[in-house]
Parts: sequence; C-alpha cells; structure tokens
Amino acid sequence: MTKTLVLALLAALPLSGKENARPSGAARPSAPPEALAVLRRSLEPPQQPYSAELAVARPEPGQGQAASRRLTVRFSPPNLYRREILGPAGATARLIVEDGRTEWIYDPERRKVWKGEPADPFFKRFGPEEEFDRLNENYDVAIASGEPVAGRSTWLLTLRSRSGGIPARRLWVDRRSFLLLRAEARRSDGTLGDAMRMTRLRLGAAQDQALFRFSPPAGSTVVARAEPDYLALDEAKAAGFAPRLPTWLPSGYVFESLSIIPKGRRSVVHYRFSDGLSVLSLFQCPPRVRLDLGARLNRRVKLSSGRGYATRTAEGSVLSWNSGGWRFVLVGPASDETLRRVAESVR
Amino acid sequence: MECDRMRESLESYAAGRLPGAEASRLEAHLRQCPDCSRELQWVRVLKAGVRKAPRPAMPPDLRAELLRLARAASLSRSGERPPGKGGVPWHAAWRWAAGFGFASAFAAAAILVIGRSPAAEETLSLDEVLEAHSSYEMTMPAADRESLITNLSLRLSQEGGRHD
Repeated sequence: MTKTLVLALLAALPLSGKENARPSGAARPSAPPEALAVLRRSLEPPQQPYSAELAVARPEPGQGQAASRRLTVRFSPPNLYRREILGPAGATARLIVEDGRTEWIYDPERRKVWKGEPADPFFKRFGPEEEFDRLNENYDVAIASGEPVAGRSTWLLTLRSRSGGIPARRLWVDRRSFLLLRAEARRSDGTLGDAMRMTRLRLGAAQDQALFRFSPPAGSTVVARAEPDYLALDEAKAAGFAPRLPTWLPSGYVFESLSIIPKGRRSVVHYRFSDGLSVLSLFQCPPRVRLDLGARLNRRVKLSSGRGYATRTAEGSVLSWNSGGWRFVLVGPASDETLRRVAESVR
Repeated sequence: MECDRMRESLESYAAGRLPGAEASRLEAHLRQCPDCSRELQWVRVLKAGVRKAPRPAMPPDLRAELLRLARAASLSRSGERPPGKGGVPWHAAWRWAAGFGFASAFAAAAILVIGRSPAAEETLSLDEVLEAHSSYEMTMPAADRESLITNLSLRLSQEGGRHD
C-alpha cells in the first residue's frame, strides 16, 4: 500500500476531534484507525515545529530505581533539533544540537564536544520501507485508545512479537499530529526498559533558528565520533576481513549491515542484525585489539569454545568470548540463553 | 525559479560539502518548500543506492602495474642528484639501508613495548561497544530517539575518543 493511499485513507477516517474533548453521553466513540497506518504516520518526520518538555527513564539492571532525566526539545522542520538535558538543579547538563548536517553533543562541565553525524536510516542497506516491512512481518501491531499525554489525546500502539512473548514496545501517538508523545520498551525478561514521556508540548510554534546552530565554545575539546557506515559482507571481505557470523539467530533477525571501527592499525567489525524493531550487535575483534570490558562482565558462561563472560547493561545483555583466535562481543535485548545460543553458532 | 536554483545545490548539501552560508539559505528554503524537501530525500536515496552498489575489484595486473610505478617513482625520488654534481646511487642505497636498520631496531623495541601494553587506540571498551550499538539503534523505525540520544550523550562522557 503506497504512502499516498495510506494517508488518503487516514484522512477519511473519523479520527478524534478536539483535544481533551470528553465524549458526551450522546456521542458515539470513534472506531480506532488501522494500526499500521497510524504507526507509519508516527514514524514520518514531524511536519510542524514544536517545543516540548520530556522525562526519560532508564532502569539500570540490578538497581532499584530507574535513572530519570528531564529534557527540553525544540524541533524545526525538516530535521533541526535542539535538546537540553537538565541536571538535578535545572541547569543544562548536556546540549545536543542537530543542525541538519552535524550532531553536536556538548558537556559544559567537562567542556567537551562530540561531533558526529545524525542517525540517517536512508543510508542503511535496509531502507526505512524495508525495515518497516520487517517490523510488520515480525510484530503484531494493535491499536487502542490511549490515556492523554501532555494534555493531548492519543492512540496506544502495542507491538508484540509474532513468535509470542510480552509486548516489546508501547507507543502513545498524538491523534492529530501523530507525534510520539510517550514510549515504553520491555526487556526480554518482562522488566521495563527505556521509557519516555512528554510532559508539555507546544506544537506549531515557530522556533528561533539561531537555537539550531552550534559552534564549539572556546577552550572546549572536540572529539570526532566515528562516521556511521552501512557496509555489505562483500565489502568487508574485500577489505581483508574474514567474517565470522552466527548460523543461528532469534526468530525474525537478519543481517542488515556492518561497520568497521578503526582501532589504531587494526579494525573491529561491528555486525548488525535487525528484526525491524530491535537490534543485535556482534563485534569481531582481532587478537591484538585489547577488550577493556571492565569488571562488570563478571558472570561466567560456559561455551564450547571455552569460557565467556556476561553482564546486563541498560542497552541490553552483553556476552563476550574468544573463539578461533578472535574475540567477540554480543549485545542485544535478548535473554542470556539466547545470546549463548547465538555465540555457540558463530563459525 | 528559486527552486531551480536551490536544487542545483541539493547534491552538494546531501554530501555535506555546501558552504555554511549557502547551506543556511538552502535550509531556510527547504523549511518552506515541500517539493524541494522531497527532492532532497530522493537525492539521499540515490546516494544511498550508489553507496550500496557493488564495487568492482581492481584487476590484479592493473594493481601490480600501479604498485610497480609507485615503487619506481619512490626510488627515483630518493636517488635524485644535486644539479652539476655526479650523483652516486650508493648514497641512496646507504640511506635506505641505514633507515632500514634503524627502523628494524626501533620496531624490535616497539614490539616489546606494544606487545605488553596495547596503545589506548587499540583498546575497545565496553562503553564504545554500547555507544556503537545505541547509535545504530537510533536508525530503527520505531526507535525512541529521545531516550537513546539522551542516554548516549551521558555515556559518551564515560569514554575517551579521538580528538579533532
């Protein structure tokens, strides 16, 4: 179904009217629109400028309470963002500016700037349409009326793996603008992962364009982040790498692309596997690249190739092991047993 | 007419080569022109397609010939003689031999040092691993970018990085 046809159908659907409207006793509730159509609209870049206040929370495994942060976000079409992550006292702890070409991350306390490129799915081997198709293949998307967020009516989209299990993602989408107002991710063990919630939204307000320009302050240190890359396996082979890939992956995951991380005179290969929603990362390191994974990988895992070490991080489970003269690291939102099985299949 | 003029710059803009002032003018136009915005998306899709296209391998004989020419040029430069003086090839060979001997001794020492303590740039940390994983996650369709970019920016402070 083409994007144009979906938008036309959506426009014809009886979506809700006024914000915060309470249905009268005589009003009939409108039927929810088609879930995939709403999801697709929510994934498109916003069309209107806006400013918002948000709260994001990330539970750290093994710690009682989630670490919560407040931030303000300003957006101007087509792709300008300014985010200020606030510290406990309300001052800016991090400033993140995307000016359309460069992504600047500034830590004022350390006077440090990280310069990189904004994430751009158009350069992936799986373009946005392919990833969306993969998401649709692997996840069932259900829609229902959601509770208001930032004073606005929402549709609640629930994404549940077709191979069973708990809802992987819940998304609260603004009924008018299709802006994502709230999101929750669930880990493989059912615990809450990353969560985001808008607490205030001002949609349509023109933004001062000067806010989306950034120059590193005098005296700050500028650190270049690696450019994102999306290579095919053939390109890795042409560059002299002997890819070692898993022969078993969790249901729905396929190889999408790889990037090469230079480490001095050597390189580490980062393979990415996608199921349309989540990512598994496999890092292949040559023997002379030292892995400094810290003391956190302290849980031993028995593998046929020897001993592996595992831990859980906020980004996902991590498993590291040696095999055939290479060192590997696996990261993903999967159970320990799943990661172990993937590791055992790496040839 | 303005659109025609702006579209000439789209390719340079998509490649990150457009000077600052011109880029600002283009961005101001894109904010008001959905047609040019769509055109920019097409340029990006095309660039991505070219990038994904298989690159033909260099024929082995061409590679060998290029390497031969490069070596010949290098030796020719090292064997240059001052004008009016009879240059002697041996002095170039002497410099080469001396350099090789020195480099060998240095390399031997370096191996002892490097073998024991990998340089910082040849170390992969857990924070770097998680940063690379999170950066890629942000390209996924239903990514919660606000959470990901917030947590990524906080994690960056925990690791080192290359300096510009």
